[in-house]
Amino acid sequence: MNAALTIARKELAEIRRDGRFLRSAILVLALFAVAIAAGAKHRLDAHRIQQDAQNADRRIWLQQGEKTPHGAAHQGMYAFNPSPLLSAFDHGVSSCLGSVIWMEAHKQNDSMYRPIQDASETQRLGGMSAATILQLLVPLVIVFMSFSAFAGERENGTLRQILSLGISPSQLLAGKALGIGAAVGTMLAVAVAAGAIAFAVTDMKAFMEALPRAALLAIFYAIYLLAFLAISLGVSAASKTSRQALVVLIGFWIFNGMLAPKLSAEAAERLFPTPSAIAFEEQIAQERKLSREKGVDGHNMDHPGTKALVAKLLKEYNAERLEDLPVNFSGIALDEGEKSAYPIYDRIFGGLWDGYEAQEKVQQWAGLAAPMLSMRAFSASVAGTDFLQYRHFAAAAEAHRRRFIERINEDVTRNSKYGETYTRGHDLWQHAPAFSYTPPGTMWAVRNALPSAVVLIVWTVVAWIAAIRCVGRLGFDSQSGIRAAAVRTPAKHADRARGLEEGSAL
Amino acid sequence: MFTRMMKHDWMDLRAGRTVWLMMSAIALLAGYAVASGISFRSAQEASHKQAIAKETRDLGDLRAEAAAYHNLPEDQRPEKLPNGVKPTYRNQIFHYATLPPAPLSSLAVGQSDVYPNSYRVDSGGSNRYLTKSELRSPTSLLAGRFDLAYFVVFLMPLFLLALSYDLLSREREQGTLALVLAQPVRLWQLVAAKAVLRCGLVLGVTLSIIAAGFLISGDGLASGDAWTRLLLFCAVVALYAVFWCAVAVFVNARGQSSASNALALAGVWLVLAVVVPSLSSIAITTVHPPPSRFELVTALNDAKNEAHNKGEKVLDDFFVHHPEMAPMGAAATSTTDAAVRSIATAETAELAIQPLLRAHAERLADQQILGRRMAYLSPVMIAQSALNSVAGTSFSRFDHFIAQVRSFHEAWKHLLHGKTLRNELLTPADYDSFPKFSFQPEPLAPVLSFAIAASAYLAALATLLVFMGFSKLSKPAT
Repeated sequence: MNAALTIARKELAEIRRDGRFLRSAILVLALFAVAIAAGAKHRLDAHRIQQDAQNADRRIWLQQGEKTPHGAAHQGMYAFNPSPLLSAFDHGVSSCLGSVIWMEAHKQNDSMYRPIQDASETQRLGGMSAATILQLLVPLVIVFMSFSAFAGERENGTLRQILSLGISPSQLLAGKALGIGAAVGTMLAVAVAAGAIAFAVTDMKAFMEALPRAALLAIFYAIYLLAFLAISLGVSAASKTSRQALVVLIGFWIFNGMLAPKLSAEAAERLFPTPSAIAFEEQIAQERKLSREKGVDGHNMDHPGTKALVAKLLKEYNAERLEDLPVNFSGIALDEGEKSAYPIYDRIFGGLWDGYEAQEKVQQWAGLAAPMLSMRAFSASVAGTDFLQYRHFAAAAEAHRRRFIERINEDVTRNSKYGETYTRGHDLWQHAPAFSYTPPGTMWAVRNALPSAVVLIVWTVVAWIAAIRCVGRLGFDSQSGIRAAAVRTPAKHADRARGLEEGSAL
Repeated sequence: MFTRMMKHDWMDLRAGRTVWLMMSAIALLAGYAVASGISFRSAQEASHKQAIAKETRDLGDLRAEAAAYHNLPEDQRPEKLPNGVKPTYRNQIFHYATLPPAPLSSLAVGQSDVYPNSYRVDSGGSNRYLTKSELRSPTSLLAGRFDLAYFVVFLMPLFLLALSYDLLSREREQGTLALVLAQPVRLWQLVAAKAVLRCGLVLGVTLSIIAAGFLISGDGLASGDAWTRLLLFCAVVALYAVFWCAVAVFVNARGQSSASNALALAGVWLVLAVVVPSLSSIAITTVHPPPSRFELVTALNDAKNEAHNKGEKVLDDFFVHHPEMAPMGAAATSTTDAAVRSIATAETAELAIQPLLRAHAERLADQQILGRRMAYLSPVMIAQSALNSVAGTSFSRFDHFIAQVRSFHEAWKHLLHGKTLRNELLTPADYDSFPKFSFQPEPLAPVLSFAIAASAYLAALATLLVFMGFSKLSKPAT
């Protein structure tokens, strides 16, 4: 253990002297700081705008003036998607999903206004959040710092000298890992502390609530970066030259960060294709038409279903005409129409959203080939900016829509008679509930993020085992052709064997 | 002499296996990218076919109702009119205005997956159809497509750098440089020959795949200026490759080791392809964010509410603005007709929201212009912008489309509202003569000028780097 610490100290000293770390660290830190600051400001503005918009919507609803209740139902209400605090850290897929849902009578609408549509090409190209920096750039810094850890020592000839001192390769690995890890860790600690302060300053209450999520993110990002450290050190140990190590690692980084996201997204789309908007609307239209034919068509009094309902109501209330009923048939017909659409929308929207979810799952498991995919999925889940969070919001909006439309139709049924012109005002509008949304809690997010977490842990474990294996083979010196002691032989034998080898080499 | 150096360099490269590996990797990745572009285009065309089928079906049903009604003798026609003869009932008379696939759709998907490519135009307000978008999974939108433009902009430079990072340093390290220079050849000529060969290899494979993709996908048959655009596309690709070769030459001219060159070039690629775009993106979002959609929704809502609350005054306002729509003859007395009221209310609301929508659209356009200006900060960004613009997958073609859809919508509304206000019923002849939307391609001039500007920018940078590199190489060797 002592040996490992000494090696670590030496590594740190070298890193400090080497310009590489300082330059890349400063660059990444600066980028991270900028990303966090920009993200925090953006989120603060977004939060305020969302609150204002939701309040304004309520005001407009209440100030509708005199109109028929069904007219108000057509006016509808709007649901504005709030942005969680950690969206400043990780945007997730929130820019690719609509931000406003119009809740109106008769229809469940898909959300409108994807932020990505309003952004310029440059923003789509460069869209970087603090999370992307941790997922993409910090691993690159780790690669730059560790690609020559073993391969460089081998090229300089110092590797043999170190091993001849009786240090086991795994101690060497531990030492180098500790050194590089400490350097990167310090850099990240500074960045994270800065980020935490930025958040706490902008919104203390939300910050406290988000603390458990932030802690989880910190832990799993550390796991992800440790996996990268293991991969880098392992490749360095297994490579003949440091150039070879660099090429392999950069190739892996490019695959991990640039190719894998696109290729896995295209694969996911092929496995779970998204219907076109026209096919989607057509499917809904056809099913509603069928349902109207089978059930009640409030606009068509000759429809058999309508006639049956009329007959039933007349009998129930012992009346001769619809106008004599104590309830308004129009209200009942409206209600029937709405309720008959519910299962259709549940099924069709559910199918669409299940498809999106399945695609996200493909990405999570594709992380087995490229760890960044799982890290991205985990990060978005815990930050609250993944698709599942959006689905929760959209489902809440739909539930609210059904509630307030039913409330309005109920008023029409109870308080008016068939055929009369019935208008209401503020006194009814205020009885329709306002849309208020509570985002799901941390445990919900963690449950969704479980597969990604598993993949990340598997990656780290496998990477470290592989690294230890690769480093274990360092005892074999292929150049001199003499087989030096392997890792498993007792220390005494190893010393003597190496001493012999040094002697013969000289 | 030059060609002889190139020939020898080629024989040298050929001996090692790396160059074959790289060429196959380029072919594979570029080929996959083109296939991805072609499949995106097919999906777009399939969706358009669905739109045509739906329109034919739905309007056909309505036309049949109208025909049945008009075929009956006048005295037998029912009191309750069938839906097919009502022009603006539930805004049921619609038309899909579709944007044809981009001229070079096989080579770039660009922003085509973000913007809608068809709108359902009906007699209702404009904002209803403008808010619709194509269904795309968030996973696909976030990742973007792996199209050829992406390959050229991000991956092609890596192949170029991998081939030429040790252009000069390898010879020096192997000790063969002195031998070569003993021949009557200048150092810069040697470097130039090698650079031209490597650039030519990579460009050769890439441009062949581009040409193959263009021909196979039938892009050339689809639109008139496709061939011009293809030439511009290839020009930008070529100059971009030349730029990256120039960077490699410049770095090699410093005279450092191969490993040091590799690190330096990796650093340059990272800065130009990752760091600068991120900073630009953050800068735009922070300093000049797009106008808020939430605020727009609130403003539109307020405007519509006001229009509705005006009550009777709405009708008077409406006929002041549209005297040509004022009902004449028998209909002139039925100003309380529900259809007239609803049209008048809708139009008043539309008049109220038009300035808001226009202002919002202008700010969005400003956003795009700013994004394009910022692109000049990095050759990577400008290459991406130029390739997307030439391929027709950028914001400007879409903006052009929206403008045409708006004017088509105005004409559509005018036609149908006029019929309702004059109490005219729809006949089968009307159905047959409804106008059809036909997209007028965007003018080539702005595309051309931007492509030329981007090419000039890349060429200028490349020339500067090569000049600085060669002047260093011309100094006596140390």
